[in-house]
Amino acid sequence: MEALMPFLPYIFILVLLVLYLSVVPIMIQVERKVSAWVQYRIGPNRVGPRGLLQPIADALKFLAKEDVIPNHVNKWLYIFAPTLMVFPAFFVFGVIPFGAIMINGQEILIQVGKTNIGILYVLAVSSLGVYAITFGSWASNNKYSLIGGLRSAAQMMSYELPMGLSILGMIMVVGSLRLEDIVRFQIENGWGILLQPVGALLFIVTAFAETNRLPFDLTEAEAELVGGYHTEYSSMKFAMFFLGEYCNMFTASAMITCLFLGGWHVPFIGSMGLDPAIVGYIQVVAMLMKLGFLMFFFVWVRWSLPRFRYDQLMNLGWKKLIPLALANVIITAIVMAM
Amino acid sequence: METVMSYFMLNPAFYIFAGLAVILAIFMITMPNPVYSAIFLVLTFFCISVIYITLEAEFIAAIQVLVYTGAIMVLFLFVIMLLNLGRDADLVEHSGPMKYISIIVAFAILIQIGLAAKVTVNIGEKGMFPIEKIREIGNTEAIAGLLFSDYLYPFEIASILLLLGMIGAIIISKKRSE
Repeated sequence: MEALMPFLPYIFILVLLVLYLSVVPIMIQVERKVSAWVQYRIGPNRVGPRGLLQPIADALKFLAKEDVIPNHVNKWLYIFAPTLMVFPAFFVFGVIPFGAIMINGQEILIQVGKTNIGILYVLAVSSLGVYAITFGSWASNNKYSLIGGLRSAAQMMSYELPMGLSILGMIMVVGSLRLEDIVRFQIENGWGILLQPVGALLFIVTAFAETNRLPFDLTEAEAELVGGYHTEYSSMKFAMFFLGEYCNMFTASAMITCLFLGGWHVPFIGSMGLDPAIVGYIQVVAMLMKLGFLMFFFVWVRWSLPRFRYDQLMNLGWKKLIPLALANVIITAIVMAM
Repeated sequence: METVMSYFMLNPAFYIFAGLAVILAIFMITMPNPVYSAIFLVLTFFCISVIYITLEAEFIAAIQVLVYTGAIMVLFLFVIMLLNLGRDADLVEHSGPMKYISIIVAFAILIQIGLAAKVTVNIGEKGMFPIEKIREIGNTEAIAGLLFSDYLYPFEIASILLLLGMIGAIIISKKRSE
């Protein structure tokens, strides 16, 4: 154990990478099964026992398909855009703390990158996600793609503001930008969703918009835009966009958990008198369970709510969410000053 | 004892990304297609933020990406794509001899800046915020502490100016639509 200590960050990187990549096939299966249940269908049940091998079949299908690059596209950007899609989601994942485990009586935080700008880094890197969609849509040289890309750019720009403002209240309460400090604060003073209920609601709503999930998936509204920004994409390049979407969802879930659901904290576990070493592992599992629930929540909402109209989306963002977020910040400041 | 050379003994990543930023900036101004130019400008901004990180200014790096790369450049691209300027061949500027004169002038200015920098690099006493102190209190705290105490009025004036700019833009766009 002692000899492993210097390699700990690399072990964390490896574990998180495996976790990250294995989440996507699981989520595809969950998405298909949950959508089937919501719509009173059975869903995939042919490949493997109870259809559990369906994601592997899907992945093989993507790999085996012919990789078509249409003649009218801008070749370099067309290839570059899908690779850009997963990059921000992966980058953000590095700073998320997954728990604190005890090794040799020493508390070790399961977190790859420890920066003192924490949340700012997350906001900055996740704001790059819009480029993949914008480049992909422009390079496709197709009017449906372009409209999808432009919608996406406007949507992500508009919802970044309330997202930043919704976190601001929480940062003011905690007094630190570090995600690990925010989680520790919540362990001592109660979960963020109780301290900042409006902030939590705003953050969850904007997270849906930033990940382009229904009810805000105007960028790929099938009824109007064929497939939106990925209309011209096929096989593995399409799969990269798909992968990016689920990675972004996972990252958004992790952010919600850390900011508002107490991170790895399990309520009342301190008073049970368990061995601290075991508590650490239980809390890591708790973190993963919270993530799992939020991922399920994303899917649940997608198959329950209808899509917004574009003007409704913009009205909601600018006329309701931003004033609400600003009011939340001001009220938080007043309450803290009193 | 510190020498002038110790100023240049930085993280190798600094030199890599500084060089990359210059190369990408050159690409940015030489591309005929404005969309490509915008893309190279995005990459240049990204390199600049990495430079900030190598200089231990994480806060500025994050703000650089958040504001310039993540917001302003998206709007730039948005406008360029909406305008749909047409084929590359139509967009090439034919400026004749002016082009070469401007290159010479640009190099002259570059040399001037280099000379000025060489003269002004001197190492005296350290200021109120040496790197050791910033490491101790943290980047964001250092900037916030100054911004909301000593530089409160300039900060407020800057935000009023930005607000004025925003209102001005709204008024101009309103007039045109009526």
